[in-house]
Amino acid sequence: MTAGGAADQSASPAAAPTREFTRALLDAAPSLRAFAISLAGDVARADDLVQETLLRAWANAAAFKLGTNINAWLFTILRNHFASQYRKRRREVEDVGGEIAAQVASPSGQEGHLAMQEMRGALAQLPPEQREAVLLVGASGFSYEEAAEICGCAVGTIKSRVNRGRLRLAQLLYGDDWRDNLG
Amino acid sequence: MMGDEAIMKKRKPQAEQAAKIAKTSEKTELDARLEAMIGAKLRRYYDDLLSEPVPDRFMDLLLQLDAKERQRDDETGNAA
Repeated sequence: MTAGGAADQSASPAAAPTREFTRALLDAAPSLRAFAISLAGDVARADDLVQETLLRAWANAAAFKLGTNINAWLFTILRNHFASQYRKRRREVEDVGGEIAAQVASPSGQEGHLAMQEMRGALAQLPPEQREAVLLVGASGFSYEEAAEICGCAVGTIKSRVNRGRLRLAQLLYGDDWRDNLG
Repeated sequence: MMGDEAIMKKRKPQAEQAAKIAKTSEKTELDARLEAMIGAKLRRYYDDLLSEPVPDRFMDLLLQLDAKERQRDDETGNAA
């Protein structure tokens, strides 16, 4: 990733961010946040991820190629930041998956209704690489090709992660007889 | 002229092929139904998330950064 760390934030980018750039970041904030909440399983952590993503995008405005998909670029920054945090946390805490699942199981109130909780809980139990693939393709509306670029892997890899992720979600949400629930 | 044995030899792979195709299309159909069901559920979940208000801190942060940038533009005489 080329996005800079916190130390770069005050540095003036080579090409100054335009008003259009600011507007694009504002427009992207809700979808970045939905992705972050689903990825991290925790609203406070998700909001920190979004904030860091916006700061990094701002500091690296010059690296953004005009005319290319700004959402894909922003999701890449967020995804990479989450992945590096995840690797760090996994070194610190053995059972990150269990930790996330526990947070989801005991929501801090006001965090949505049952179906939403159920889906968030199921997503938290997916391996992170399946979770991000399912979210990018199945929810955020990226193509397999865009998702592959965001995750830095082959298109075939994304396809198989999405398929395995969907299957696992069906098992988690409907149990072993999930086939009976297919419409 | 082809003997019976030769015909059987030729047919067997065909039958295997047909069985394979039937199995694949069964699997593809299951995949499609799985995709439709989980896809719809995921999108509903996501739409709910997207409809939640975004914290003001993001808007404040970006407007602050933008205002600083415009101020710099004015100082250096660059048109925004």
